[in-house]
Amino acid sequence: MPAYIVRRLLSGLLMLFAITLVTFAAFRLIPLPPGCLLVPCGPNTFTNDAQIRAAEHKLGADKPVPVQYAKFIWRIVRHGSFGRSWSGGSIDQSMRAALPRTASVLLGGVVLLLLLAIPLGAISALHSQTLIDRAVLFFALFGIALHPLMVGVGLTRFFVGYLHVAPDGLYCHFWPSKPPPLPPNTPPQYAPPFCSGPLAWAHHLMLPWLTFALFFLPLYTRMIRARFLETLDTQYVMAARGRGVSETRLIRSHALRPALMPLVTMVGLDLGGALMACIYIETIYGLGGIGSVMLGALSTGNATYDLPLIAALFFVIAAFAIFVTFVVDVLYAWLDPRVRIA
Amino acid sequence: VEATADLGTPRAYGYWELVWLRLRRDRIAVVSAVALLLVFLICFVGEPVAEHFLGHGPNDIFPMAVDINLVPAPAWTRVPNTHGVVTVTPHTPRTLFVLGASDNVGHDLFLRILAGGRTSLEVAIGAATLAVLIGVFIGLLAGYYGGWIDAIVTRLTEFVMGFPILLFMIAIGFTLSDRLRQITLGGLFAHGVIALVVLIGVFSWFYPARVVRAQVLALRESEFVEAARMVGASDARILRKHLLPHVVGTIVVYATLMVATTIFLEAALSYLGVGISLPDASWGNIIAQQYGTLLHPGPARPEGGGPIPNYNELWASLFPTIGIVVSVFAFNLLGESLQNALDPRRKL
Repeated sequence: MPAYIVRRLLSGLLMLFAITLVTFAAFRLIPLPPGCLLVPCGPNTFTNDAQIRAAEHKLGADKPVPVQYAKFIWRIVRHGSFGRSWSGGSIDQSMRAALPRTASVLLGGVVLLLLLAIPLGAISALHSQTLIDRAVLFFALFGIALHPLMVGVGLTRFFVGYLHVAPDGLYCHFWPSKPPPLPPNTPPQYAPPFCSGPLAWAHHLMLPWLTFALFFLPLYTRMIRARFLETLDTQYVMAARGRGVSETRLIRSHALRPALMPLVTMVGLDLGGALMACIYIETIYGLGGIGSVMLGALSTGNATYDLPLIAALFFVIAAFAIFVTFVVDVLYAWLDPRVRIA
Repeated sequence: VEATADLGTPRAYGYWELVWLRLRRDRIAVVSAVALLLVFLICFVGEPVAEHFLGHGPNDIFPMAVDINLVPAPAWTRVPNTHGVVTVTPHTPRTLFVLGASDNVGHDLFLRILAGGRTSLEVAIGAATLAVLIGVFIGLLAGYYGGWIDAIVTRLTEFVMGFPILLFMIAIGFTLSDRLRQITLGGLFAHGVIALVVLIGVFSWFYPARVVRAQVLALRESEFVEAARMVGASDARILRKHLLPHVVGTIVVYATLMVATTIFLEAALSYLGVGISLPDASWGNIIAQQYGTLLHPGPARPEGGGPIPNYNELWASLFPTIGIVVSVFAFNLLGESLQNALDPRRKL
C-alpha cells in the first residue's frame, strides 16, 4: 500500500507539471502580444514596436518560455506564492478570494446531491416496479434534459422573485468577519452589500446547491437504484432476510455499503463535470469564483490574456483534481476491504 | 403445387434490416424521432418560409418594436416597418411580430427562435460528428496498436475527466476564435458556427475515443481478426473491414447522446460569452440575452432582485427552453432506443 501511495503521488506531481507546462506553451502560441496589457494596441493606435517590446520586457514576457515556466515553478516551490499577474494584482489574493466560493458551491452541492440521491435511489429500488419507482425514473429521465442554466433561472424566479424566501446572488463568507472599510467620503448607503457567518453563508448558497444537486440527481439516482437492486438480489441479503433482520437494519448495515462503493468512484471521476457545473452556477448566481477569474484574465480590455493568472488557476485546479483522485482511491480501499488486502 | 411455392422459404433479414424493424416497433423511438423531425422541419424549412411571408429577417432591427422604456412589444403586434423610411407616420407600412420582440433592440422573437434553433442544431450535430470522427479514428488506432498512442489517449481521457475542460474552451474561445468566427462557408452557416463546432469537437473526442478503444482492445484478440491476418490482410484493411463494423452501433448511440450534450454546451458557452455572438441568434444566446452574461450584464433589476415589471424575459426565454428540452430529451430517448435496437441478441 505505501509503495502504491508513493507511486500515485509521484505520477500526480508529474501530471501537475505537465498540465502547467502545456498551459504555458499553448498560450504562447496565441498571436496576441502580451505587451498590449500595458500599452494600447490595435488598428487605431500609435504605439510603436519598441514600446510594445518595452512593455513585454517589463512583464518578463520577452524571455523564452522555458525560462518563464521555470520562474513560475520556482516561485511556487521556493516562496509558496504565485507572484503578481501581468495586470498588476496579486494572484494569491485573487485565488484566496475566488477559491472558497467555488469550493463552497462544490462541497455543499455534493453533500446535498448525496443526501437526495441515496434515499431516492433506495426508495425507488425497494419499491421497484411500483408507481413510486416509475415516478422517480420518469423524473430521472426528464431531468437529463434540464441544464443548470435553466434550472438556475427557474429557481431564482420562483424562490427569489415570487416567494421571496431566498436572497439573490451574493456570496457570504463562512467565518464571521467585518465588512471592508469604505473609501473615504462614501455615504453609508453606497456601501457594497456584505454578509458573513455560517448561517448567512448557507442561506445564500441554498439555491446554488439545489441547482448543482438537481443537475446530477437524475444520473446518480438511476445508478444508485441499479446498484441497490443488484445488492438486494445477493445471497447474503437473502440470508439476512431469512434470519429476520428488519428492513431498516438490512438497508443500513447490509445493502448500503456495497451500493455506495461505485458512487465514490463516480464522484471522483465526475469531478471535471462537477467543476464545470460549478462554473455555470457561480456565474448564474453572481458568486464570482474561478469562472470569473478565468474570464477576468482573458477579457483584459485589449483582447489579450493574463498568462500568470491563468497558469496559476490551472495549477490550483489540477492540484485539486489530482488530490481528489488520490482521496477517492484511499476511500475506495476503506469501503472495500478486498482492495485493502490486495 | 402453386400453394407450396407461395409458402416458400422464410425470408432472411439482414442486421440493419432487423435494427430498423426493432426501431419501428419501439413506440418511444418513433415518438422521439417524429418530435426531432418536427423540430428540424420547423427550424430548417419553416424559418425561410416564415421569413418570406413576414417580410423581415431574424437579425433585422425594428426600433419601434420597443416602447419608450425599452420594454419589448408583446405577442402579435404590428410594428412599423422603419426600413428605408425617413420619418415614421401612422401610414408607415407595418410588419407582423408573431411572438413579439425578443429584446430591447427590437428583434423578432418568433424568427429568432427558428433561426436560433437552426444554429444550435447545426452546432450540436456538427460538433458531435467531428468529435465522433476524431474519436473513432484515434480510438481504433489506440486500441489496435496500443503502445504510446494508447498511453497518450488514456492519460488524456483521465485528465479530461478530472479537469474542467470548460476553462480551456473559454480561453481558446476568447482568444483564437475571432478569426474562425468569420468562416461561414459562403454564408451557409451563421457567424461562429464553424468556430464552435471546431472548439467543441476538439475538446470532446476523448469520450468516444475511450469507448471505441475499449471495444477494439477486446476485439483485437478475437479469432476473426487472427484469421484475417493469417490470410494476409493489411492492418488498414482489418481496421476498416473487420473492426469498424463492430463499433458502428456503439458510435451511433454515442453520437446521438453527444448531440444532446452539445446542445447544452452551446447554450452554456453562449451564457459565458464565448458562444454564438449577436446579432446572430442561437437558443443559448436568446436565453443568455434575457438574463445577461458575465461580461454583458442583462437588464438591470430593481433593488433586491426580482423581475422587472412588464419585462418579458420569461416569455422570451420560454420557447428556446422548450426547444432545448424537447430536442435534448428526444435525442436521449432515441439514443437509448437505438442502443436496444442495435443489440444483436435482441429478438425481433
